[in-house]
Amino acid sequence: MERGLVHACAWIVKRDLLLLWRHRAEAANPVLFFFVIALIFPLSLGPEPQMLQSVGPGVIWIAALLATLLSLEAVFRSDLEDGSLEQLLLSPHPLTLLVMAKILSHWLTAGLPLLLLAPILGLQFGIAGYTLGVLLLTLILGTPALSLMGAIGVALTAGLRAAGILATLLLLPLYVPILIFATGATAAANRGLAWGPQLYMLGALLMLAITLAPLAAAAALRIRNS
Amino acid sequence: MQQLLAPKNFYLWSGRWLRPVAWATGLCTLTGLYWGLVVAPPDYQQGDSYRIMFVHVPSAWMSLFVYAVMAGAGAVALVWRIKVAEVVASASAPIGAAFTALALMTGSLWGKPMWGTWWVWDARLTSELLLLFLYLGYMALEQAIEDRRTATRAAAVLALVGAVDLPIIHYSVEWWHTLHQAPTVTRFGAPAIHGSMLAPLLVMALAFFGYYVSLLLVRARCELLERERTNPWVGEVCRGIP
Amino acid sequence: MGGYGFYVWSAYGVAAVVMLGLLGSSLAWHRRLTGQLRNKSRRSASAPPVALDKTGGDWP
Repeated sequence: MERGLVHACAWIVKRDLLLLWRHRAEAANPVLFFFVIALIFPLSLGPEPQMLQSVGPGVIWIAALLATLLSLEAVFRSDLEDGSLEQLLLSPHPLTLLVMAKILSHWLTAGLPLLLLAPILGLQFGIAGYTLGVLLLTLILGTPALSLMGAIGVALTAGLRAAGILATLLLLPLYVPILIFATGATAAANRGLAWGPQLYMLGALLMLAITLAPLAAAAALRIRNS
Repeated sequence: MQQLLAPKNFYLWSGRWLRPVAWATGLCTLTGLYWGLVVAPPDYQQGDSYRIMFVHVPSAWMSLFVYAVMAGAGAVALVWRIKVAEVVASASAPIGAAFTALALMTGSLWGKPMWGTWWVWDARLTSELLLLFLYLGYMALEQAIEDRRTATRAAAVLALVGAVDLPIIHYSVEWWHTLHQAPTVTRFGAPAIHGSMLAPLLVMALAFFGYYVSLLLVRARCELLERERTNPWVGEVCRGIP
Repeated sequence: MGGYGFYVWSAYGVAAVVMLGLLGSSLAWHRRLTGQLRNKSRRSASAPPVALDKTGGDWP
């Protein structure tokens, strides 16, 4: 890869991480949201251990999904406001790859923390160690896919009124396969059945997302900012 | 054929074809209704309730077909920026959404006497529900963006992403459904449909298709007028000047 | 309808309502639009003509 392009992508990631560090309190919001959503379930469904153990993986995945959607808006919103989005569009480097860099920084700041903190929630729901391991695998494969496809949604709605809700509405049907295979894998693991195929499907979805999503997001950015 | 892509030509051409298509659709509908409701015999297992199939199945078929047209027209609009493609995509969305909603409602009405509940997490119904949300998302996005051309092009990107995802969604929902299979086997329609039932079904499907074409022409013409209102041909055509 | 009357007729009824409703509102939209645009066109056609070119060339 051309040296200038690598430098540009690295710079994008570094800048986003730096901006996040400067607003540390804000950065914690998606993580807190993740916890709160997951903890609301026992409160409304009851603390019975058997039940919590069986709904646990699903609940954690729902919480991860919603927390990701919450943080996605930030990918392009502040850039739109301070003009750096325009600079991205004017850059000589291919927009698709620059967008990929932005998605990477989003995952580092939103997906990765969820991954690191999911085990804690897993313990609270009494999820067995083996199942928890599979859950983490699904999150490793799934959260990047969520970031990738999410970028399309936020690129399409950047700057619009109620952009967050609109992007969520657009993205949820598209997210369904990821959710189904992730929770299918953990449910299978819990029952001692095979979970490999589901993980392969997740991997395939991730590959598809890596190939096509940055392209679609870049196209969406160009359309919205022409 | 290519001249048809000019907005004014398309408007005039569609105006000429609208009435014949509408009449043919009406005829087809009456034939299909009579055939399906009166002529076709009751089903061995489901009695007369299976007759809902004659509106449910065509609705479901059209909900998918219209999405394909919407995505295809959207692709053309993105690549070649053809205005007629833009209005076809934009006009199709509410029609497709209506078909999807109909498929869900008639499916629910068919399910209640058959399985005892208004809603079943059947693979096809659940996929259909997600399709409805794809349509509504498309329409919401288009409405949210001010400039109509930009709005349609952005929505076209969404439609294409949805088109790629749709088979994946359907497959994953089917897999999910078989995993959580209810004790009673859920299946719409007879496995091998009898000829006396297939024929009225096809007639109704044709009627629904004709309805889509007619309604598409009406709405596409409206969209075209709105988007081209500053263009002089619009005023002339509305005043009847050919 | 063999006891299923309510369901069958409700299904056909809801189909009729939705499809005829959408058709009706679309036709009304067209009527409204053509009316508006016709009036607008008439008004601008009868508007006073723009001043001629000072060079004396023809208009337009």
